[in-house]
Amino acid sequence: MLSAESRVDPNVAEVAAKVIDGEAIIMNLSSGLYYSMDNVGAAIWELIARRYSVREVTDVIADRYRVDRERAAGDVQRLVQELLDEHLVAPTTLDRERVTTPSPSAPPPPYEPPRLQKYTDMADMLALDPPMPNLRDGANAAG
Amino acid sequence: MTRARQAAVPPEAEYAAFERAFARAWTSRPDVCGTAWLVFAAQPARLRVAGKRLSDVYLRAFSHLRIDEPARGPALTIDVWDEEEAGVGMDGLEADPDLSARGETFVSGDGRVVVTARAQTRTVFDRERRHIVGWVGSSARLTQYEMGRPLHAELLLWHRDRDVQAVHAGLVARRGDGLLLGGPGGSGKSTIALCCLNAGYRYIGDDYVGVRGLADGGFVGHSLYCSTHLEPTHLKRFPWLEPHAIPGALPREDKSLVMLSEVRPDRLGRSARIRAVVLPRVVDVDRSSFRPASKVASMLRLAPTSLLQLPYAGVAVHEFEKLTRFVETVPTYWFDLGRDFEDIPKRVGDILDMHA
Repeated sequence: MLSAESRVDPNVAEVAAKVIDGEAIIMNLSSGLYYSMDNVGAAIWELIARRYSVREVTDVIADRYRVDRERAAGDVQRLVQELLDEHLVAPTTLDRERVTTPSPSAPPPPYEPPRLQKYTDMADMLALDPPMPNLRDGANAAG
Repeated sequence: MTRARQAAVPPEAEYAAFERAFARAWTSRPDVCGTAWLVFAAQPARLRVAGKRLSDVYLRAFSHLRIDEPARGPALTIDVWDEEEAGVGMDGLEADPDLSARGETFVSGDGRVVVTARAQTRTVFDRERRHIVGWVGSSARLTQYEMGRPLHAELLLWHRDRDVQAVHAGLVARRGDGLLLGGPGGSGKSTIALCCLNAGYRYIGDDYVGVRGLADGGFVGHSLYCSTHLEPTHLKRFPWLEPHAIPGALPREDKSLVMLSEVRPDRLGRSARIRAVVLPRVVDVDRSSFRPASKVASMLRLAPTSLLQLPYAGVAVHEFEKLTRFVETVPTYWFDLGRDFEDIPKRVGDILDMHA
């Protein structure tokens, strides 16, 4: 059950993600599903990737976008739950990263409820070559 | 069946057995054996083939990458033999008569040795030795895919081990300045690449390109194959290619294969510095046009097909990070692809004029 004090971590074993110019792209390399989020969603992803708790994310979003805290809390809860359901993040007991969140230099765009855009077009597409399921990146594998 | 041996023989032992078998093929039929030197990602590779027909197949796909024997040794050695021509087989190893059978891959516990089995071929790649040894049952029965992209999985992995990223994209160049064509199948990569080839540009690829970062922060793209796959209706728009088209034989081979080494060998290139990326879209207009695209639009078009279809997709996190660095660095444009094929190279030229 997701609580205000819950923290989640990107599922780094299967998921690669990056926020570029205020938009996030998230790929699940195992399932073949990929996702994008813009604006508020990308900002939330950056915060939870630093293991901010649901409450801490809500505080930052409400402050940054000057939006009602109740509304922000509901949106953050819903998005984090969706990310959990998609196996893009997993609960963690690790503490928040102790790095300062830089303040955006420009005013943020208007608040919009965060939306996880899901793309399924690659999920059923077979790779042209047989997959290498047990391939490792061992230091000695390649000369 | 090519897959009959896998349970009994660990990949490391299979590598040794394949080396011995290739040595027998190489010495028993010298009249059908030949050596060629190729260049992959600016590094020399030695290709030894026991089998004249098989050699023809490989050299058609790699003809533009041939070089004279270099002073330094190979960064990759490829030894392959055709059982039918060389007369050397291996116990328990038979071709699968079902050419549509899906391939399989087996990896040694330490990740060093990778065995790739397809209906008519089986290769063992020792990544530390940088050595691919391969058996082909009959080069006369290779699939269209194996003819157009020989050793595809193995070469992608070798490139990855050399820090060269396989990107699902085309690449054309003018005077060494390249334009990367990114996007899924059917988006127009081949159309742009072939129109540019016809207009005098260098064609480096229209499917997979090896991309490597340079010390100055730029990127260079390297060719893998000179083959292109076109749907029948698409092929009709390039009548100069039609006489060279090799139709598919299997239900899944719904495209025709054209080896461009047989059409315009003078227009094939090996590498180019990547100045910009275009994301083609087929639109219902005559003239083509372009406009800047966001970085995430670029990632959404390049990353899924580049990463998720790779045989090593499950461990492609490093490739994702490299691709984001590439996308953040190189200017990107949407390219609305019009019906006028003669106009397309002009718009490509406009983009290169801005960034070369």
